[in-house]
Amino acid sequence: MPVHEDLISEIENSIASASGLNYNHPTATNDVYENYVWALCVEAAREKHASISYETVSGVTPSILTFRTSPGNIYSTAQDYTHAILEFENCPQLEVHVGIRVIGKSRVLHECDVAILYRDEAQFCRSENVHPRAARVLIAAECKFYTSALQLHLGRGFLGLTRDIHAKERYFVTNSQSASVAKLIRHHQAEWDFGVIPSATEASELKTRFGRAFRNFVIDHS
Amino acid sequence: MVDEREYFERLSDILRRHGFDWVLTQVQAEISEGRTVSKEVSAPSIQSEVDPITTVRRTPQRRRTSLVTTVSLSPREQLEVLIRGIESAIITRAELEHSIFGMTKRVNQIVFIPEESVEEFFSDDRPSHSLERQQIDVADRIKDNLSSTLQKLRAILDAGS
Repeated sequence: MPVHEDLISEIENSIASASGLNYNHPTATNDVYENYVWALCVEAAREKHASISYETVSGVTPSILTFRTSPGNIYSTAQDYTHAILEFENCPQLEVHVGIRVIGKSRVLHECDVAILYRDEAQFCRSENVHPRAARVLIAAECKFYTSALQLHLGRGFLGLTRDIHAKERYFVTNSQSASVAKLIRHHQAEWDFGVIPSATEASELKTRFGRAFRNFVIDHS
Repeated sequence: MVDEREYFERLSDILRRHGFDWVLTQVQAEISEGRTVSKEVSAPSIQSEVDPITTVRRTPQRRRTSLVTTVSLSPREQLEVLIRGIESAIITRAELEHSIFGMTKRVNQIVFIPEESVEEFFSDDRPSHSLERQQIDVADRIKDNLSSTLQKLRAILDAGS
């Protein structure tokens, strides 16, 4: 049976239009995915009654949000990057960042795609030009956007990260699936969130997990 | 019979022509890995180390056991991997943008810039990019069209196989 030329042509039209929106940029969707997980984190805090504001490295409230395309230094002033500030009543303030480096227990630098840390630590790091300590990072998420099944080495990388920056509230978040990566991570008693996309229940489950971490944070400081 | 290989080649060509080579690379990686399946085999039992002087060696017994092997994906499975790749790159991408602007209500633009960047925004190698709230409607239309077309394609493939 020959291919349906009308279908092929319709698919090509959609792909060409998506290319016009810059969807064909090889790394852009991964940046957007990290931004999505960042927004999920902020939304989880909002639902737990935190007040939310945005701030840049230079301390101004931005009208346009600016994020990194690859991990960098929290104190960098190369661009006026944005972070969110979370304020829970009677609790220390928190900041939510995208793509920052953090010092692990071994004093090796690790890259956190999304990191929530104490604001006093973030301010200290910006003033002293140093990296945040993992112990002051409340939540860290490794985010991977793939158009196919995850490769095993990504799971191995995540396990190395959790060993060095404390295992609690460390998330491996991906839109994709992989039974072998899930088995590997589970075997090492770490957590994973696969299939996290807006239309899936996995996204609301992840938001609930972030919300639970915030609930525990509030209780710890009450 | 539907020619799945022909569809695979035609869709791959379209992706290449419109700069989505990176999707093909990821799809090919998944196809190359194949699929693991359980296989019943008669395998020699694994024995612990023994002292060769004090122990009488016996031929290891063979037992039926379930091990794992890798098999190649069928042409239909390979095409499904490619279709899912297209869905992720375009449909999921549009959903992500929609959701982000839903969660950041007063924000109209989000930009992504490398830390070391000194180049003009949107230079030739385009390491920087941005999301615009005003593009959401366009992205939603592309998503809906593509979603229904790929559903039709799946229906044809299912009916023809």
